[in-house]
Amino acid sequence: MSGHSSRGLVRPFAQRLLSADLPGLSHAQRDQVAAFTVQRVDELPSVLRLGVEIIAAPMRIVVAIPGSGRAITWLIHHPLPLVGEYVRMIRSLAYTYIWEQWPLTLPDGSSPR
Amino acid sequence: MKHASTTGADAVTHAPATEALYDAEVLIIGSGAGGATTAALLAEAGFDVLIVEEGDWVEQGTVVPFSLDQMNRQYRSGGVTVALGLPSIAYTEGRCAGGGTEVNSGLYRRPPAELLDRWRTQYHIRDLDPDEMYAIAEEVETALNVTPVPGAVSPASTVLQRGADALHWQNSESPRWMKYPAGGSAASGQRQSMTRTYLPRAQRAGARLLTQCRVRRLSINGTRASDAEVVLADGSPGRIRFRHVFVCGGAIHTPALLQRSGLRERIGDTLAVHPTVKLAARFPDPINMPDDVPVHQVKEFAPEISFGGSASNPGLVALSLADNWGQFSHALQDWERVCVYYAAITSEGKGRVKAIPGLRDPLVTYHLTARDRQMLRSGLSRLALLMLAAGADEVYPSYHHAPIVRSTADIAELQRSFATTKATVMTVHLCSTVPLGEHPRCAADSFGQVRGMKNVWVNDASMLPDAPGVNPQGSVMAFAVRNARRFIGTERPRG
Ligand SMILES: Cc1cc2nc3c(=O)[nH]c(=O)nc-3n(C[C@H](O)[C@H](O)[C@H](O)COP(=O)(O)OP(=O)(O)OC[C@H]3O[C@@H](n4cnc5c(N)ncnc54)[C@H](O)[C@@H]3O)c2cc1C
Repeated sequence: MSGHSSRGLVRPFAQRLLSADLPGLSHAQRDQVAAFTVQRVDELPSVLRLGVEIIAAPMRIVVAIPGSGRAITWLIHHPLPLVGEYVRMIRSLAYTYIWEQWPLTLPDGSSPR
Repeated sequence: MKHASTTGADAVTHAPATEALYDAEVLIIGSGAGGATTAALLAEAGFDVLIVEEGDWVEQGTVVPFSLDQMNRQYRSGGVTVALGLPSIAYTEGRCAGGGTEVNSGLYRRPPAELLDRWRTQYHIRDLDPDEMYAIAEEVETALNVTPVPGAVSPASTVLQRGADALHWQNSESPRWMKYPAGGSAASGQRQSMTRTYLPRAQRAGARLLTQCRVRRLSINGTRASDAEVVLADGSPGRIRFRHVFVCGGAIHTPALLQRSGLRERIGDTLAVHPTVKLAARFPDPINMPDDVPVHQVKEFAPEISFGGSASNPGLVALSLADNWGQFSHALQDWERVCVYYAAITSEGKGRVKAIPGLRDPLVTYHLTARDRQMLRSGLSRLALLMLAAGADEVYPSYHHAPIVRSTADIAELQRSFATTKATVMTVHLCSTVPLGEHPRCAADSFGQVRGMKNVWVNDASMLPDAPGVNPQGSVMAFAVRNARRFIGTERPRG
């Protein structure tokens, strides 16, 4: 595995996706889940990781544009070829992690009272 | 020359960085279903065997089955591997001592007689005798303690049986390689994976096992391979000289390694898989068993389509609901009443494995045919019907914008809106990248010897001529034993 991390590319998008999908997740949890997704992306087979980074780079730019919230929400809810697969991968990793770590989490990401 | 440990799991050692040269009469690369079996037979026949395994030895019981921790420790790339295509197909492979046998569901099926017959004629496999194969299958079944559950099967398994019975569909319990206490329930079984069976057997017969050691490439001169370049646990390079080599790295990494070694002809061009689509179903009563899978399978439409149950801990239930989270997420609050089920097809599509110079892992692609797509649609619809027949109150198919299925009327909407490009398509059965047989498209001869090579064999899932349409480990092991016996009959140990 190469030494560099995809953190800069993947983390902001993962956080944005989590706040759109699961607004009740606490900041600390969101950070923890985003860190987990980055770690898994870093472990991807080399070819796949390269592909993910090619898709993640423009997504990272979109996330950085002020007022891009709507565009992001649209992207994460529409299964576009390739971009859709990236979104699905991040979402799958995140959800599996959240409900394994905190099985009682409510569907909006909040913790039960 | 250095030796790795020769006894049980505790004594498995990693090669010290300074001792980088090994010698073996037979090198076996990979310790999964194919490699462990080959190692045991050859070591017992008196060959000096060294097994190298990229993953670590993980003692059973030290990881929770189907957990992220298990994914970290026993799967390749944390369980996130994908064959690219439209749609891409997510797949998983074991990467640990024992390979896939340590993490899989343990469901055993013999290679069906019609399959062996078709393989023999279509791929011109010499001396493929069904009687011999069934004698071997029996031997493997004894060694692995293949058995039905003596006590109660899980409620999630009963769902499959109940639904199929209501529809008059053929179904049966698949026996598993498990040891149960007398009268024990499904959950009480202990998996008879390779670290419990063939690997200790190989080690008792003198085989050495080197874990956390990855073979990068074989050095080849003309028609012979002479040594393997390896990377050891601490990242340092090593070299293993051998007389014969069996490549048993699984259907993705066996062809990738052969290609990196310069062997490319017909290798890696014919990847076959059993693609699956999934759904989650909610029942009135608790059915979920987080760390086990159902043992029943529905075979009414086999080998084209089969139905079974998947691991369903809360994380995996969430995963199966993720494609239509807005509509489905409420089901997660009832996860104890929810279980995930799959429809698997025997695909006519093909995939490719290509080693890319400069990259560690190969590029894997897979193309589903129009007929495959149709079968997946049909499989998912019938699976939804099966769930309703078993008493599900809501069914959640895993694809974008899928409807909740509450009655048979909703299945029409499922059929209309389903598209494989919207679905989560997955597989855990990969094979056929170095198919055996005398047919010109086969990359190895009838006993797994790689074409054009005098001392290189494959003896794992990559040698199966195409997708078997049943759980493959039984077929992999039966062929591995057959081929190992042929080798023993033609080559003499150095002594
Ligand atoms: C989650 C899951 C569930 C499954 N369920 C079932 C089931 O219920 N029934 C069934 O019949 N089958 C099942 N299977 C499939 C079954 O496990 C495989 O068919 C079988 O393990 C294939 O055996 P193999 O020897 O080809 O490869 P594997 O068992 O995968 O072993 C290959 C080994 O080689 C090692 N390796 C690879 N490359 C190198 C290298 N370069 N250097 C060193 N080592 C290397 C790998 O780390 C791995 O440990 C399942 C698989 C999975 C992943």
